[in-house]
Amino acid sequence: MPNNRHTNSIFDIFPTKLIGFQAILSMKLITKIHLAIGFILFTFCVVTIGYIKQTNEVKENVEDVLYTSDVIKESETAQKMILDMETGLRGYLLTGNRNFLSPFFNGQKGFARSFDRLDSLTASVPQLNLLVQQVNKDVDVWLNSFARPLVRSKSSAPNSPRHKAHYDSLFAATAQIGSGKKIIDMSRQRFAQIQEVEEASRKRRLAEMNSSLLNTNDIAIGLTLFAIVTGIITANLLGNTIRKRFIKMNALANSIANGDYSASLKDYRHDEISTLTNSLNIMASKLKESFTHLTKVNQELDQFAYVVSHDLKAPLRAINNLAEWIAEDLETQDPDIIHNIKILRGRVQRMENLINGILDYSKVGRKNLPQVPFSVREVMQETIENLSPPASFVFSVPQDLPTIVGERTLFYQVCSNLFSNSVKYHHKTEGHIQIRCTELEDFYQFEVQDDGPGIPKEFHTKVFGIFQTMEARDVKESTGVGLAIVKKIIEEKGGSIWIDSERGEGSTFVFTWPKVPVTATLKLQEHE
Amino acid sequence: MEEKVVNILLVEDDEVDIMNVQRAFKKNSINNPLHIANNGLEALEMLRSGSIPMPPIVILDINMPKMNGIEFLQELRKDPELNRISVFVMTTSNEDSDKINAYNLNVAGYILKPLSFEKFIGAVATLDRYWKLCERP
Repeated sequence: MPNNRHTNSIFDIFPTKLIGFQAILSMKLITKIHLAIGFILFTFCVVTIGYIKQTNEVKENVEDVLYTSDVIKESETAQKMILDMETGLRGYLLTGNRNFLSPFFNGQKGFARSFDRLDSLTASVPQLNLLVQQVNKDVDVWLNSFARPLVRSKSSAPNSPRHKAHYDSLFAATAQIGSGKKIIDMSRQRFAQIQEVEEASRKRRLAEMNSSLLNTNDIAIGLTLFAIVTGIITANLLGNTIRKRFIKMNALANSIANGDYSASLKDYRHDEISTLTNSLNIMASKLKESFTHLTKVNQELDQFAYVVSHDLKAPLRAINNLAEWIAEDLETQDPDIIHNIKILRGRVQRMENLINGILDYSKVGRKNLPQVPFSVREVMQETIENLSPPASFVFSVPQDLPTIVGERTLFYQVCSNLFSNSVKYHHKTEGHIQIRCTELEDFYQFEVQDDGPGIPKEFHTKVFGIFQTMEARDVKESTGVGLAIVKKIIEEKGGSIWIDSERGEGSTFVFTWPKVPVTATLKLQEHE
Repeated sequence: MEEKVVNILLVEDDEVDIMNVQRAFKKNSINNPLHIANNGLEALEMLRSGSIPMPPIVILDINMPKMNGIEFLQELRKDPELNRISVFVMTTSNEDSDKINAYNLNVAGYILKPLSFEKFIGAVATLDRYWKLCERP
């Protein structure tokens, strides 16, 4: 029952004419391919059958022509036999030599054979058969009423004068008035008639054969062309529909790769490609969903950063100001109070630094920065200039540094943090910082080597954690955010960073930066 | 000619920040009358009611309850009577978006509230020089 209802509903939706089209549209792709190939094969079958049929026709025509030739040939043989009989009879009648009679008898036998063959050959053509029968009758009449009586009478003529007289009279009554010749002439005429008829039909049949041979060629060429054309059209139609849909899908995938997740494809067919299209659409919508979510989260994070920067800092500033005013208003010289207030303000300052550190760390990678080609050497020199280290610190930057395409600001941030660290944490008042660069297959590897105190191996990973410092903040005022930011930047760009260092030997920070920027990274909207 | 004294309207919700400004005025011996509004709505009301001699100079915080600094600025620039008033923004917000919004609404300056009081005194001294110019006939 439900099946029945389903069918009804289709009829309700689509006009009857459209149903066939709809059925083709909703076919599985593999069915369509099978149908197309089947159609081409079917066309070739039709071609072959047509060719065989035409060939048979030609064969019949050839047989007809051969048959006609047979009739003509046989009738010529029969005529020759009659001539043999005549010649043999004439020779015997003239000379009386019985040797002349052997062609006469052989002719009779040969003619009988020929007649039989002609009779059977012309059995299907009544007009010819009648002529053949008449010829046979003529020859019979000639033999029985003319030739045989003469031969019999001639053979008995030497026996007695009576016999001779009988022969002479018979000869005079028949041969001399040409009665035999008349009969034979009649048969000759009939043969001529037969040959004429046959010649005409032979010509007709030859013409037929030629025309059917030509037809065969035309039909064979025509059918082959038809098969090729239908094959090409079918293959093209099928290929084009598949190609068009793949191009559309490719465009969708490309637009997704370029960060446009709102794209989707419409496909009303129900085949294998539709399944793929649907999966693509689902993928695009899922991606869109996650990116909307990500955008929302990012917005929330921005809001959070804003709250942190304003609302957390405001009370800090108030504490700082109040402490200052208390100190002013107290007008005390008590060193304890002055010291405590100084520490209090120092802690407030540190709190502000930490808040700024969190903000900076959270900002890494959340903003779209322009990708520009920049000279590493220039960036490094700019960093050193802005850092303005004491003159006792020497930076050696090599001459042959590459030019990289990427976010210049981020690279600057990395250099700035590493360089300032090497100065800030140096245990002596003078130092030498060596920068090196090696080209790897996909990366440039940079090394920043200082001759500072070095970092023990057990801290090599720990120093990259956020708020991790090597010394108490009271000894060296630092937030412990710098290296965390450096690591975050480098890893987001697809590189890596590690330390090569031993205590007392200085430390070397090694990091890799990709030659080609990682494309198709998260394309996030700015929410400024 | 009589010297005109410019009135100053401080729009600020934080008590310590108000004290901060007052103290900084005292340190710089600035004697201009200082009016205080705790949010944008209050400030608009004070300006429209005529309780402050015109034209005053406004020192404006951004993050405030009820009506924040940017919203206040938008209202101010829409009002034909008030749209020529000079406004200095003084805030902790270092966000680019706030700065851009403020300058789009034609502010005379954007002062980032420093953590320490000494620096703030310096900033107020600069302001003082500016409105001394305004007071000149």
